[in-house]
Amino acid sequence: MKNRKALFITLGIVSLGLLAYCLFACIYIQTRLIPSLEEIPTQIETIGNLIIPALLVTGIYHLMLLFRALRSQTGKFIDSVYIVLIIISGITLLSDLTLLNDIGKEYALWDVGGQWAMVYAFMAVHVLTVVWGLLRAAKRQPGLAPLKESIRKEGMSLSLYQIGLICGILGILGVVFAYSGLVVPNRFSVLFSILIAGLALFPLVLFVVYWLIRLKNIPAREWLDEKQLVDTAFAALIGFFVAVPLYVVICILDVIQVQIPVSAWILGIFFVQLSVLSSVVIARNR
Amino acid sequence: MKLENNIRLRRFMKNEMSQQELADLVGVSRMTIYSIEKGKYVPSTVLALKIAAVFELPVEEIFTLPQNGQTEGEHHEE
Repeated sequence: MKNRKALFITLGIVSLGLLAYCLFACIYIQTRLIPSLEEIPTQIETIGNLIIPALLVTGIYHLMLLFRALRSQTGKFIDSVYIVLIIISGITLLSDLTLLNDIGKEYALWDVGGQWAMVYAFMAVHVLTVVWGLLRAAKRQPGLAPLKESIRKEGMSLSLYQIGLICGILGILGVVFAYSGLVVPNRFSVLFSILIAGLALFPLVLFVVYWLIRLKNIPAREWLDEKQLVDTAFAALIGFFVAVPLYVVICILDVIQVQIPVSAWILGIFFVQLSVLSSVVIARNR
Repeated sequence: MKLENNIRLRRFMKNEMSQQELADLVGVSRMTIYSIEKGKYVPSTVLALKIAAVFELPVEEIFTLPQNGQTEGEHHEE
């Protein structure tokens, strides 16, 4: 057990070192990659290519963090925040590669400042995730007994709604952000909002899949107990009542010729309902 | 709708049984037992019978209607 913890912490420190390399490599490349360069120099290309294995190792560490976090769930809200952070950070590791690839192709013709900003923002998320993982690993007592199955099952049910709430809030913020015109020009808002919504929803989808896998040997009628079912039904009703006035507002806006993009209101109402449903269930379990 | 109960007392009388142990025995979550004990949730007949079976008592010795015999939302016409 001690060896496993030492290995885990060592890999965490290595990941942190590799992320520091990625960060400095990005800063170096950004300063050297000027539009007047006709071809990317070999030195910059080599430095850039080394980011790939560095992110790969960090990705493996993210998987370890995720499995560890899922194994020790007790339904604490902070644990759910941590799980969402790991998943989003893991997914954005892939985005880093895509963004850096795009920068390499577009630097000479287009302004790539927005892409660089996203790369640095994602790097900050990776560093936060790895540091948090290290702190949790260092704090954790070795030799703790594994959680009882019933406690874990209850913790998972509660985590499901906590993750739903976090994803719902992230989704609402994402949609508002996408249509604010701050990040991307308005002509890309639809595509960007769908991407952000997908990113916000991904942790929940992944957690639902994990939850279903854990419950695969249990009959569906026993996935939630009777109070959990009542809580969910009540929360769904509240979610419905919250959505109705929103639909009315959208109809009125349409009548008075104020156009709201379809993707904006569909995603917006979906994330509002998800947030309301999740928060009502959480409130009834306090 | 309200339903009073003495589950907490019964648990202590049965070797200080924890909420989690009772929850495991009747197949619900600990939070459900906690909510029933606090009177926040009224259990189904099946669950009430299961809880009574754990304490080897008739269900009416664990669950009782409030003393005025009225449940919320129930109106008696004079």
